[in-house]
Amino acid sequence: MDHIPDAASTAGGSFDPRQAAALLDQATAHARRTFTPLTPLLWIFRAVVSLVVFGGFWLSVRGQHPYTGRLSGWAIAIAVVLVVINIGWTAAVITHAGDGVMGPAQRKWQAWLGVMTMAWIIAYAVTAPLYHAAATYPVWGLYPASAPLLIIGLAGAVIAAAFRYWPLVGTTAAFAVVAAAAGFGGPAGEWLITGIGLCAVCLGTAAFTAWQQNRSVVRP
Amino acid sequence: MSSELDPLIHVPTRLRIVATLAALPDGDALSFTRLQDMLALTPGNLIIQLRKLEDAGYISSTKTRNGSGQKTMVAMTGQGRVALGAYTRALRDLLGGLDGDGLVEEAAQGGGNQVWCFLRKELAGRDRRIGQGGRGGAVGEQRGGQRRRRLAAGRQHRHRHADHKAERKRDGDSGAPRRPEVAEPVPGT
Repeated sequence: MDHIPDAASTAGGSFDPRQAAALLDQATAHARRTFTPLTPLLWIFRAVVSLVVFGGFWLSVRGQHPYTGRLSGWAIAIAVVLVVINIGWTAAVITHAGDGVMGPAQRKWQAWLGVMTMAWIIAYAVTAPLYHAAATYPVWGLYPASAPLLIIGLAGAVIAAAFRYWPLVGTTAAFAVVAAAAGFGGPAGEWLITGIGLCAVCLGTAAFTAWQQNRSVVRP
Repeated sequence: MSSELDPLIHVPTRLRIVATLAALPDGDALSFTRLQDMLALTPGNLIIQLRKLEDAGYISSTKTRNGSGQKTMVAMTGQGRVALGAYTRALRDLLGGLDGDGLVEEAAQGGGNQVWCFLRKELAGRDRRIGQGGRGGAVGEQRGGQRRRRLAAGRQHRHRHADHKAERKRDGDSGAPRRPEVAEPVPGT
């Protein structure tokens, strides 16, 4: 909780430049944290989710001979629970950040979120017919781990660049790079590479977001 | 480089208002109730401060229909952003000329450049005080005096050494030292 001096007691008085600098930094950091839907804590949670979900998938397919790509029930159950928590938390943060805010940037942000949601749904929905058709490796082996993330990452980077959300361009482009690199890990190994790669990207984004929110406006 | 702090912004409540509104992207507006919640101000106090900022052209407010009632939206204007930028620069200039205590605090908080700047400034100030006859307080005067005495002692020693060498040359001495050369005293050690 930020300690902000009582406004009524300080309003109208003159104060020391150092106090002013501290108050300016404090108020700016508080506002940045309130208005952003990208909280460092949420990114850390996403890093854990990536590692646990993709790591679980890797554990459930790594011993398959021949490789079928069938995931264990427990791995899917854990993934569903964590993804639902992630969606709920993200929705709550977005709602809180946008409460009482109106304007062009807010509308752009909502458009970006809508496009990303569609990209996630479409990219992973394509895996259902593959599963139903009992597609074999390399189609089933490579598609679910790499292709959706590649599509989502590239789509997100393009739209974020159009809206000039540069930190998000970096994050989503890094997602695409991880997905492309994971393809070289083979049918089972790509799950692990994806998990570790996404975890690193999410942690990097969390660190950058925390720095960006708390950096001083007075002292460069 | 101006170090004038805008008196309209240099008030805690208004500084918090403009800092909060400036955190929004350009063109976005914030509802009066959300701003009030964020700053924990009474509606009356917030209205007074907003009116002063609006009169100066730093913020703009618009009323929109929200169901049965009205909603007031507040946004920072371009002029307000420029004013806050100028205020921040003025604050930076003023903090750049901090006294020693501030620099010590900064140096203690870390940052190699800050420590280096502090040391350079401190050494420059000490030299200046010595050059001005130690006007930098009792401690500075005492240290300056000690340093001057050591410098004078060093000069006297060098003169005596030169006289002694000239005397030995006159007496037909080969000039080879009879005992190892004594290092000249280094001033300030």
